[in-house]
Amino acid sequence: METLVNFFLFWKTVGLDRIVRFFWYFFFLELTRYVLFDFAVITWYLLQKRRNREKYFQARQKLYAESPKVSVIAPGKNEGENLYKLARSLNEQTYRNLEIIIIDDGSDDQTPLIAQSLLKAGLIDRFLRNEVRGGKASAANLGLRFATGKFIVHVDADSSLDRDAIERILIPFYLDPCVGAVGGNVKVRNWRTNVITALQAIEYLKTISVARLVSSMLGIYRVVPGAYGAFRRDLLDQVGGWDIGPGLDGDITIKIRKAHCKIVFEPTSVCYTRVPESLRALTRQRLRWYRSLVRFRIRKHRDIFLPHANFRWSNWISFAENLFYNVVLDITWLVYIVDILAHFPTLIGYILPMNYFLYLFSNVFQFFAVLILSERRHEEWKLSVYLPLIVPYIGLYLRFVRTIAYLQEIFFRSSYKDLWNPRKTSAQAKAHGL
Amino acid sequence: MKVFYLTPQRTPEGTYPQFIEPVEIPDPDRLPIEALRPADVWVLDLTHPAWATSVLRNLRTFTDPEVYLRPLFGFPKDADFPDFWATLLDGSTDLGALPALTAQAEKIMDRIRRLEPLQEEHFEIQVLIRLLRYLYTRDQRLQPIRDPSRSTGYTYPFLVLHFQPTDEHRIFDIVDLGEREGLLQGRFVDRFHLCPDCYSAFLNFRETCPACSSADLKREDLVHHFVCAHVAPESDFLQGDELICPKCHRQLRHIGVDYDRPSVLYTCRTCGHEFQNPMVRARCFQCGAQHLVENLIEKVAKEYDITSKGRNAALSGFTLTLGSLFHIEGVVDYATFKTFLRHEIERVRRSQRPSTLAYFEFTNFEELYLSIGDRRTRVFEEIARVIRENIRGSDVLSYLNERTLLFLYPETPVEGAQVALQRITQFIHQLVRDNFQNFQPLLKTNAIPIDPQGTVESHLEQLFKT
Repeated sequence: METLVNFFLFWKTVGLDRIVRFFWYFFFLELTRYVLFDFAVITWYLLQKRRNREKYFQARQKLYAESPKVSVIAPGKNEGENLYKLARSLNEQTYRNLEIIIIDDGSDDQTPLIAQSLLKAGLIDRFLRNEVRGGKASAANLGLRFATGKFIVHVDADSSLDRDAIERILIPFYLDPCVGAVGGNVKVRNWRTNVITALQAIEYLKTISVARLVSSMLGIYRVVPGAYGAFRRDLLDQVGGWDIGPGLDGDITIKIRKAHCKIVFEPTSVCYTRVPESLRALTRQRLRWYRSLVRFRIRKHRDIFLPHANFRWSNWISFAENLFYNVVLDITWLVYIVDILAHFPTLIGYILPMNYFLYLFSNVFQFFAVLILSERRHEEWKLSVYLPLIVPYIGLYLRFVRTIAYLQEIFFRSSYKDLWNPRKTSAQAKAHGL
Repeated sequence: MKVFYLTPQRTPEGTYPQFIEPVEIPDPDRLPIEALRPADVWVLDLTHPAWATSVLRNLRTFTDPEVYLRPLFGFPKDADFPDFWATLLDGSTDLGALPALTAQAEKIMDRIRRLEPLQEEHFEIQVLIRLLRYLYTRDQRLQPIRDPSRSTGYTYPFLVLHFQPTDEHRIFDIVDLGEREGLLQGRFVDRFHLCPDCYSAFLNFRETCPACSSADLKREDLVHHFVCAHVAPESDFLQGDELICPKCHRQLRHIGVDYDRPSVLYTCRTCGHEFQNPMVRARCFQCGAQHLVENLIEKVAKEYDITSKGRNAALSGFTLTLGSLFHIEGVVDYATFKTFLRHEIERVRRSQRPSTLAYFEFTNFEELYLSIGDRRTRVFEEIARVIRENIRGSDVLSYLNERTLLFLYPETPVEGAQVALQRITQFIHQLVRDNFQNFQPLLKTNAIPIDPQGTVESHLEQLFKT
């Protein structure tokens, strides 16, 4: 009790200048970007949405008047158990002119049998199989080769869609002919499983539902998620489909950006996906994701930063923002910690708990933004009980994993050793510097 | 031993051994049966195969067992006679060597004499008994013969003589029936398929397009280029003799290092459909119909030995029973059932709790069984299922005869038993109505309470009287 009183007395007596000095990292980097800025942009989005209601309605009419064929491709390996859910949700879509293609990338379980039975039952239109595993990109490309739709919707085999999801992901193409790809809003299906999945659910809501909406509004949206995104078919053909991952979703988005097309995020088109349920699996997944940032943004597509014929400021800003808020801030954060430890070693007991409260406050605020935007706020509100844990989850765990991943990739090119891709393809990608 | 030599035209006196008497049969379709009867053994002239096969057919399909089972040898030993027909002879011999076959002939004759006269109404059962008798008198194993001149491919010569060419497939129903009744014991020889439309085994199996069923397909490898993850049919990569990736324009040099062939692609030349899993369909050479393999009739060719039950049936016939068709476990024989009934009467006397005795008769089930062909297994399994579902572990089930089931329901009032019986009869009516329009099942049921003062006999008498 006495400690608590001391704690409050301490902060009561500290002046504003000292508070800023203690928490410069939070005030200048976190609060501005993730709270104040986000709220401003969300407000702008909501106002625009109101204003554009008529346009949206017209675009929807245009979509239905044309009713183009849409190919949904779902590549995966050993995903048999998830296919029925996916096929069911696709057959429930309000938009009907769909061609559903499941691609099996060399599964060694019952997946081929399950997919064949779905085909027989008429729940899917095509089942393609690589007898020999070639990696996710090759499976997606195989699907693309056989897809006949004007638009291609890429979904992960362990995902499923809201019944109006496809309709909603298509409308942006009819709102603006310059749109080349649309990212869907990916949410966590298995959030009730344990704390780890619940925390990821909050993270997805923050980073996908809100952060991507903001980046999309600013024209710097970076990743059409692999779990759920739609593309113009002609554009995919133009860029040659998917390249080797991991992180092929980010990679193809960059390729489309380079083709001078707009990429937008559609928060109302909702896809549910399964996320890792153990810390080990989650760490593995995140190491893969974060390594790909170095591999693709710093290495493969570094030309984005260079002045050349294809140079565009929006691409430059998109990359720069991404690198700044991930790589640079990771390093700055270490600087901050060292700064506090070096200058205020005796005040650690006051500064660290206060940091926690500030971040918690910021997260609660952001969660509030999520609920404003969400179509399921009554359901998602229940996640708020996990909010106190989100600070160590994002602030410590993810930051730690991210830092490790960057170092691994920068110094050891670990992404090429990841067995997520077959060795034969990784070897070739490394040899060709891709 | 008296031996008759059956020949289309008499040859001059003196060319036969003394113990042989030639009989001239100019027209094989007009057999002088009465004139042939006095012989113990017949020897058939095989030098005129067409004539000989006609005589053989007419003898082996004759109604009288004394005729169709009579020992019959062929002459000459090295005659060029089709295998199919040769299996219907008891052997081929030279006339001079005939005495050596006497023992064999006598054994057959001896067994023929032991057979009891039988009157069997149903054609299938008649044929089955004829087969059993043929096998029994000769201690023979029934072997399936591969015969390209028969539509079913595999055939059983003795059986197939009894059927018209369009009905030859029914020989498999006869041996199935024999095996199910425990009269024959089969051993697997081969599995084969018949056209579901015309029962022909002459089918052309080939990969076809799932969309339009055409067999005109182009098969091509899919190529996966590792570096850029491009996957496409080989033709997309081919430029002259070289493989060049259409996406990244690199040359593919080494399989396993910079590319592989993960699967194949079929293109239908008729409709242009591209697919990976062609469907195997069979075109019937006989009727031209095309069917998916899973829709063909699958049959097993077996070789059969006659069982001891089969030998009894050969001697004195047999009757089909509901029990052997329905495969219901825990069925007791009639004598045991009567013992159960006696105990039950005693128990009711002491406990005063009601029990019920009931019966169920499917009067014309044999007719149904013989008329429904290939669907019979499913139909009878369904009936058995309903009967099983409507008896409890404590109920006792038995057969009075081949078409009557007896039920003893301990601690069950009559109403309860009637409900179970009603369910069974309703189901059979429904099943038959749905599947066989021209068949009217004749079903009878009755249930009576166990009377503590009655006897076993009085109960059974009352059960069937009311």
